[in-house]
Amino acid sequence: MQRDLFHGELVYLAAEELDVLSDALSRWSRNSEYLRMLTSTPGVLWSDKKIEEFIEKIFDENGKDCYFFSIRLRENDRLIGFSCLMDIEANHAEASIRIGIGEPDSWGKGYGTEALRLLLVYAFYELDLQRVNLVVVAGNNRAKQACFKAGFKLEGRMRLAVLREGQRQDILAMGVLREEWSKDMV
Amino acid sequence: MEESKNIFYFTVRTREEDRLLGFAVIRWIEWVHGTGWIHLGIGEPKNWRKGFGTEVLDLVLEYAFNELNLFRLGAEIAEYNQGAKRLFEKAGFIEEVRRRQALSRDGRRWDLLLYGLLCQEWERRNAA
Repeated sequence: MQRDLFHGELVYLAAEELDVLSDALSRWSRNSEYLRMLTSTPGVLWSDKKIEEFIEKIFDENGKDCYFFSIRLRENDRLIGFSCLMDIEANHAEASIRIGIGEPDSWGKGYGTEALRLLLVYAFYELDLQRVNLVVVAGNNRAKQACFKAGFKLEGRMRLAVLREGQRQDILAMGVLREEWSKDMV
Repeated sequence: MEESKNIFYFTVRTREEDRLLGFAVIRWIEWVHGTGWIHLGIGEPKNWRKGFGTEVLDLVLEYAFNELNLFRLGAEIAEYNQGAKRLFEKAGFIEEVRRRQALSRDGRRWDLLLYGLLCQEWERRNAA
């Protein structure tokens, strides 16, 4: 059976023109709550020019060092986020996922979960990877739930690895193996 | 040797005869969180299991916690590397993450272990 690799029921994976993605990333990255869920590196506000340079670099690497997709809603084609398979270790058949839903009104609706599922299908059935990593800050409950629903298992925690507003939090290390995923999810 | 904001690189030599044994690196430093990762290597098999690694690790921990003032250190160790596991466990590192089947070598898959040590744990051990 041929699968549709890029379309789910709620969202689809897409490619964007530079100006469209640049506008979106610029808007999303002005939300510090979003930035803090996305990454542990300090949030920085970038000019449009800098964002465009960043995207051009991703476009150059796309299909080689990373696989980048935007996330759009099926019902109205709205651009709500991005996802990326990166840090690909071809000799070990392993990669990591980074994903962000940038539009706050699209949080908690299952869009991220479905995008993760699409990304895993792509990782396992198109790139033939054996396992996929994802890290999440312990306090990010939505991301945790999305990971578990998509088939990730908790593989451990890097204790107190993030410091924010005077509080330390663990970073959770998630992983999913093709073997267990194809048994449980497909 | 190489030194920038996120990496501190040392070579390791014997005090006797100044023989070059290996390297010790603190890398992937995230200053805002006070975190970094240790990477050690003693190159020649004939220099393994002589206590060099233990002493190097002690020195690097001292440097990381008392000079760089890091809060925690991590180390990546392949499941099959018994020597490294013993070395880091002896220094107080705890296995925190097991990336199942992350390595493909010699026709089979192995786990990649992530170890961690907090500065406060290291201080407590030193005081004891």
